[in-house]
Formats: sequence, C-alpha cells, structure tokens
Amino acid sequence: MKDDVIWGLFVAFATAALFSIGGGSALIPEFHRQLVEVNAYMTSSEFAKSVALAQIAPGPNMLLVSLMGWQVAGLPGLMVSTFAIVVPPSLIAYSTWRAMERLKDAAWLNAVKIGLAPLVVGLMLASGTITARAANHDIIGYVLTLGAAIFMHFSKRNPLWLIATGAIVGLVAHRLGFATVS
Amino acid sequence: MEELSPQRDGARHVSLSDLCTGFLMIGLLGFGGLGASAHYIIVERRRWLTPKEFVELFAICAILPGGNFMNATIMLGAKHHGVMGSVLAMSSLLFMPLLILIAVVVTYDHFSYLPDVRAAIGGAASAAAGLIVATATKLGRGVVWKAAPIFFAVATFVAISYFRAPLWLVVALMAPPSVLAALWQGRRP
Repeated sequence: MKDDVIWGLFVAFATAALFSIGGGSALIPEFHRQLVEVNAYMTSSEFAKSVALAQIAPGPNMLLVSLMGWQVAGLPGLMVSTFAIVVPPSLIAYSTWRAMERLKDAAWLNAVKIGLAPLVVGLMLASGTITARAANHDIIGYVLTLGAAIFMHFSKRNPLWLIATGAIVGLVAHRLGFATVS
Repeated sequence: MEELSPQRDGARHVSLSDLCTGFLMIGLLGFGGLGASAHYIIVERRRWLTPKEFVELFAICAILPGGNFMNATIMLGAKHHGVMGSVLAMSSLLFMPLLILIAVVVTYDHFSYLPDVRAAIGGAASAAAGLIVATATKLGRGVVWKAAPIFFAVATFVAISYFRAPLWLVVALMAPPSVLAALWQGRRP
C-alpha cells in the first residue's frame, strides 16, 4: 500500500512536470485534480493548507510538490515528489542546452531568444499582478506591493530587506487595527 | 546597468564553489518565486550574465517544461561545469528551501493560529508580489523596445493577467509572430 502511494506520487508529479509550461503556480489546478480528485491522497482543505505553507518558504514554486509529498507520505514522499518534479525536466533542459551550444551562431536561434524575451517580461508582470491580487486584502497591501516594486526597481539591495519590511508593516498595521488578517 | 557588466558570453570564469554559493543564496532569498533573487545574484551581485543574456535565458526556459528558474539553473550549471555543474547548482538551489520547508511544516501548527503571525506573513506576501513586479521591469532592461516587442509584451500581460489564458495558449499564439518579427528586424541593416 505504502509503495503504491510512493509510486502514485511519482507518476502524478513526473507527468505534471513534463506537461507543465510556465512553472509551479500554473500547475495548481492539475495537482488538485491528481491528489484530491483522482487519488484522494488528501482532502481539499489539506491541499489549500499546503499551497499557503509553500508560499511562506523561499525557493522554487515547484517545491509545493515536495510539501504535498510530505503531507501524503512523510519524508519518503517528500523525496520522491521532489525527484519527480526536478529530474525529468532537468534532463530536457540539459539536452536543450547542449543543442543550443552547437547552434549558438544560428540566426534563427537568436531570433527565437529575442522574440521570446518580450513575452517573458509580460509573463513576469502578469505573475506579479496575479500574486498581488491574491496577497492583498486592503489598501496597505497594495501600498506595500507598489512600494516594494518601486524600491526594488531602482536599487540593488538584497530583496530580503523588503520581505522583512513587509512583515513588520503587516504586523504593525494589524496591531494598530488597520489591516485585515486573512 | 550596462556599464557594470560589459563582459561577453563566457568571458567570466565561475568556479564550482562560486556556483554552489550563488545558487544557495538564490534559493535562500527566493521568497515568492526565484525571479527576483535570481536577478539580484546573477546579474547584480555576481554578474554572471548581462541583463540581456539573463532575459534570453529565461525566455528559453519559459517554453521548456518544468520550473522556469530550475531549467535556468541546469543550463547555467552546464555552461560553466557540464553535468557536474548542473547537478551541484540544482542541489544548492534546493537545499535551503527544502530545509526551511520542513521546518515550516513541522512548526506551523504551533503558531499559525496567532493573528500576529498571519499579519506578518500577509505583509511579507504583499512585498514579495512587488518584488516580482520589479523583476519584470528589470527584465525589461534586457529588451530593445521597438513597436513589435512592446505589442507582444502587453498582449502577453493582458492575456494572462486579465483573461487568465493558459500559458501554452499564449505562447502558441504570440511566440511565432514575435519570433518572426525579431527575424525580420535582424535582417534589416
């Protein structure tokens, strides 16, 4: 039974990883389908808690998967889930890199990179606004987001300072009765 | 910040230990996704890549399966130290976040009910969203903003942010014309 769960986690996450384009947050609906609806490894509220917890810790958004593996099957679950989400795409990335080194003088490859760059900027901006809408429940949240964006655009300071400032402002606003706590 | 990073592709030597410490820092600082901390370490602190090289690496990684920055980690590792570089860079990237994740899971139930903790986490999340916005505007420094790139950046933003279109659809619709526009632009003197 236990082995079935471990194998089930591996299959669920490795297939999700290989069909994922655009990173971890885009996969959340697919994870929900696999873990809650198809396999019933966790309840919907355990799933929501994992998503919230994963956002507290730093690191790749994909580590949400490690956390879910932990919730379902402890340390072995975490290890196999992390392996499933990391290794198959990494093999593809490595082969792509080798191919790109051979082709690096090709005009079309250069055009692909230059043509995709504006899409990446638009995509990153969209991630920022979607994250902001999910994170902010009041005007203080939006002021924090905007302030952090402006400060970070013009400075080369360590981003950790802004995260810490955000935490302190959130705490103080709550203590003074200004902020809505979710 | 072009004047600070004049090195050409591959001109800078990055040792294995540089690679490991750099990716350890990126993982450790990567709140709300790795874009902000990766840009901070790779472009601003260590200057492994110019802003232009950084956005182009991200562009290739965004159309491959898997986490965008995890793919970039594999490629940067491979660029400097082959397979060994990729494996060590990825292990370094994941090491601190996994430890912190386990610590958070094990302790969260003891403190999550405190409104103070929730308020502080909420404030940190708001600031983290701002960091992602700033990463986008900084990535924009690596793009030459003519009519076509502006159009495709805005269209991608609107499609994903307002219409919540799936990424594969946006890439399928926008990438071919945008790449053709870049090819056409490149042919002109």
